[in-house]
Amino acid sequence: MKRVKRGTALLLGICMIFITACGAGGERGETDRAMGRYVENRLEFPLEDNTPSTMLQRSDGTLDVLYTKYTEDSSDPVTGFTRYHSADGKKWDEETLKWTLPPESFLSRVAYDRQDKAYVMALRYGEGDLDAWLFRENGEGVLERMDIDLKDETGSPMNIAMLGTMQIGENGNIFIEQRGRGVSEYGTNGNFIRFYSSGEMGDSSGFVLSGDKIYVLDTVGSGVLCYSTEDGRLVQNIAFDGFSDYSIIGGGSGGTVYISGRTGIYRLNAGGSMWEKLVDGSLTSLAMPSIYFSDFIEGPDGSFYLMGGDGGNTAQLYQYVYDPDIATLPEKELVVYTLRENAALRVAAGEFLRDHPDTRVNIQTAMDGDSAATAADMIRTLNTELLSGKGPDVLLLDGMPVDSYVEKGVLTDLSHLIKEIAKSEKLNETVLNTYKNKDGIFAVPSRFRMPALFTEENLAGDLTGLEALAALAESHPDKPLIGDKSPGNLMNILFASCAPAWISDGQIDEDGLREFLETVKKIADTPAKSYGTENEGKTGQFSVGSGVRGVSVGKQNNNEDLLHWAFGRALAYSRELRGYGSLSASVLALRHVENSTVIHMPGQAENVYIPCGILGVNAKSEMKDSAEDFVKLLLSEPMQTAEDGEGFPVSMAAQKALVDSVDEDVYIGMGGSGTETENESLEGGMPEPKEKEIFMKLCNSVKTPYTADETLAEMIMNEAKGYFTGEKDLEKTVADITEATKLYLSE
Amino acid sequence: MTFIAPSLIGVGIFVLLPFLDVARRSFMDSFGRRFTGLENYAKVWENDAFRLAAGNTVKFAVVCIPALVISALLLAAAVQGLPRGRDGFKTCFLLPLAVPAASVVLIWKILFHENGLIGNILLDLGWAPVDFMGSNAAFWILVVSYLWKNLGYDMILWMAGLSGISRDLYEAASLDGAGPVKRFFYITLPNLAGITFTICVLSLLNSFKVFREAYLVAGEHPHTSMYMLQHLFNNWFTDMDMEKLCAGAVLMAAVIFGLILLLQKAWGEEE
Repeated sequence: MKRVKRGTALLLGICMIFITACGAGGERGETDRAMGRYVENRLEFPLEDNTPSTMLQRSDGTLDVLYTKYTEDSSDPVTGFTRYHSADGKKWDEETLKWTLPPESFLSRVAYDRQDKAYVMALRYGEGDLDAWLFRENGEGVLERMDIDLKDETGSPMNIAMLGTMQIGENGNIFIEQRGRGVSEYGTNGNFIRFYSSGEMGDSSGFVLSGDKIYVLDTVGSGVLCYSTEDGRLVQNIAFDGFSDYSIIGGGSGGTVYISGRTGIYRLNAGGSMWEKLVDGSLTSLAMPSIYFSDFIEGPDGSFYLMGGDGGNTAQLYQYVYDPDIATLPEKELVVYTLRENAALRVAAGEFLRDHPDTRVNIQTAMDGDSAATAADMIRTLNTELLSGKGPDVLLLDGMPVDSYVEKGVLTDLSHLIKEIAKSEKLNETVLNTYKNKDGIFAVPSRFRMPALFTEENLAGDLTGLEALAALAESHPDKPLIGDKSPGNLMNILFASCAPAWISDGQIDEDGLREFLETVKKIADTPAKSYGTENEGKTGQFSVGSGVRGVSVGKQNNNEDLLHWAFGRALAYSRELRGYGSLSASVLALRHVENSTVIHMPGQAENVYIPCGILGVNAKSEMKDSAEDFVKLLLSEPMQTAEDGEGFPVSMAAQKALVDSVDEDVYIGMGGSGTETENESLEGGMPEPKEKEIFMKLCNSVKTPYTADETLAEMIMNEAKGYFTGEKDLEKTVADITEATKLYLSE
Repeated sequence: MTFIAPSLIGVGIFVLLPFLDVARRSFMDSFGRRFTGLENYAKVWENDAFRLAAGNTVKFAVVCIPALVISALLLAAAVQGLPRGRDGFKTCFLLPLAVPAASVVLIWKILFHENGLIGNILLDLGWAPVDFMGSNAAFWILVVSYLWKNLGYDMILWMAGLSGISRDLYEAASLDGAGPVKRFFYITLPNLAGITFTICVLSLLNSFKVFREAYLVAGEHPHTSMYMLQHLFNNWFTDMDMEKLCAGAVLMAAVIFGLILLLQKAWGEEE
């Protein structure tokens, strides 16, 4: 019995040892070598700088692309149509169509019947309503109007504004989608036959006909509803869990149904209920958030075609062809880590894969919105990985202890990379050198933001610092400096432009802090009314922005303050500028106020900027070369030109391109919702190059980085509250702040 | 030995070996690549945050453990002497131990927040509301929380000790004219010496668990009065100051180990 016990104990001990030795094994950087996958090819449409109106497929599987010709006459711009035909997406044959539409109308939808005759839906903006006409192409290629009674499922006239896709059935019946509701079927003489619902809570966003079935995409219900077109009966409800921000349903040969979206292209065989993933979106441009796809077509050779564009005037034809000789998954994996979702990384991942087909980019987002974990929890998990030598290859360091990582040797020196890039591209050296020390450059900001002040030119000239700001406020007792001049809002606005002057090397300079608090109180105590009734007479909201380790200046979309300034109730307006794409509202205000300008936010520090998109390469990465290539890609002009709302680019060429770019035909407007502002609004076109130049000058004149973190800022603001409510005097406040932050800074 | 071998091997692999690695890293740089000698210990010893945290932790232990041990003993003696309802009282006193930390934190916030229940009561009485968690009162709230949570547990342990004392001793003492107080000091306490050591050690270890509530309520940087060693270690981990973290952990372990040895010498050997 003793021997049995001893043996059992020994066995258990050995088992425990082996269990602890079990691990994932293998080396990172190499993956399994199954072969064959769909490869993406980008083809050009026949016309450059012109997006096709639609892409269609003929009955023989070949492609047609339609272009609408426009004139300068804005009242009736459509002058004709051109069709380009191709069998492979590479060589196109041109044909001018004989189609004419009613005056002042435009092309909405086009579909082919089995004889490749076109059905065209045209719309026109009437008086407060949309008019719709349906045309059918006759034997001579001329459009003939069809009578059609557009109805919804209740028999009421259809909401024309919600017209979705249109297809023609094998029997010539016409199927027209009502976005969000379902699909209506009409006979060859335009009579309403029946309605196919996308479910009670459904949100239809496309449908496809296949034989005697219709498949309606229901994104809310997370599936596809299959109806019989013979009797309208619901045949099948097929679940689908690959939905993304957009999904396109398309049909193929043999009754197959396809869905494509950011996650990839999926196939459902006729009569089946399981979706097969054919194309992995993460390995193609499908996952890139900057590209929007439409018009899915299965080619005659089994390849797939999609039209993709960035929302501007250019579109490309994306072709997906199966290559049996290429690895199913790229051999190597580059791991990129970010605390929060970052669109620029996704775009860069797609571009990187194109240039490095053997390397897959795996973007790990620590806080993906569903997680309840805090940033600190995620950083600790990351630190565990870094300490064991298994961390990610590239780190987006926003919100992380950059200085600590640099000091501990977690990151590799990128000086040589910056030098290499500087040979071919001019970069903003001030921003790039933010984290430079005597040993090199270990972290590189790829973007930056700027606290800015909008005011009249004659006032801006004297605003050389914080005292000047207070002097301006005191000299105008009838108007507040900023619309909401509560101490909380002022602290938020001024913190970034002042803190760098009195927080450095883990110390707080009490004199600088004293001056800051005194000045904020001076401005807050000026007699002028503070707008925002909930803050009147109170301290306001002392809040610190989340995300980047830095203070979010003021309220992010404080359009109320903008309107107070634009309509003369305040002396100035402040905003944290986050790139050329975020300037629209500010430019509208600049146009409205005569002789107005924008300057760096005056403060105790000069020309402050907030670095973001901070990149670093793990010193222990096994993919260092690829990691550096990825960083290089993110700093390259094409990537820097993409507007992601994160900040201004460090690439000067990208800056110039963004300043010179013109968004015609886009009209913007903003209005107020507060007591004083509810009837006020500003409208106009997008910012023009000349208007954007002033912002470029600000970008090129940045000097002082703001890199203090949220925790410190929050401590200071919490202790400062009592000073503004009168509970304690200035000296006590400064002493309390020093005491409260001493512990944090001494850690 | 055979019987405890699996546990011993498990503890050895998951606790002792990692601790030995921690001790090794306390003499190296953050990544364990370069030997730094006693530099890390010097850094930790001179660090103001460590001194404050260590001071608070010692203060907490010095205040809480005697209070807990003594009040749990008195409670155990009282409950032991009840003719009826002993089990009901045991259950009531043990319930706080079963309450999850997150629920305790919720109650804390409801009671002690500046705009909480107590704050509103103070306001109704004409006094200014107090931000308990942002003042020196935070330390005493932590003490109360610790006592409330662990009183039942220690009481059960004391009751186990009390039930091990022979009734004959009490009878003999009563016959000799000893009153309840004399019986308590001359019979009960000496016979509880052995278990006193166990209870003190367990109370000491449980005192570190109060960090959970403190962290959930006040975050990574609470008021200085409740800033404990675990807060500091937690923050050092976030900033990857592993060398300081390891040195601090070794110091803390050495102090606790020394304390346990002292307690064992005082009470453990008299068993």
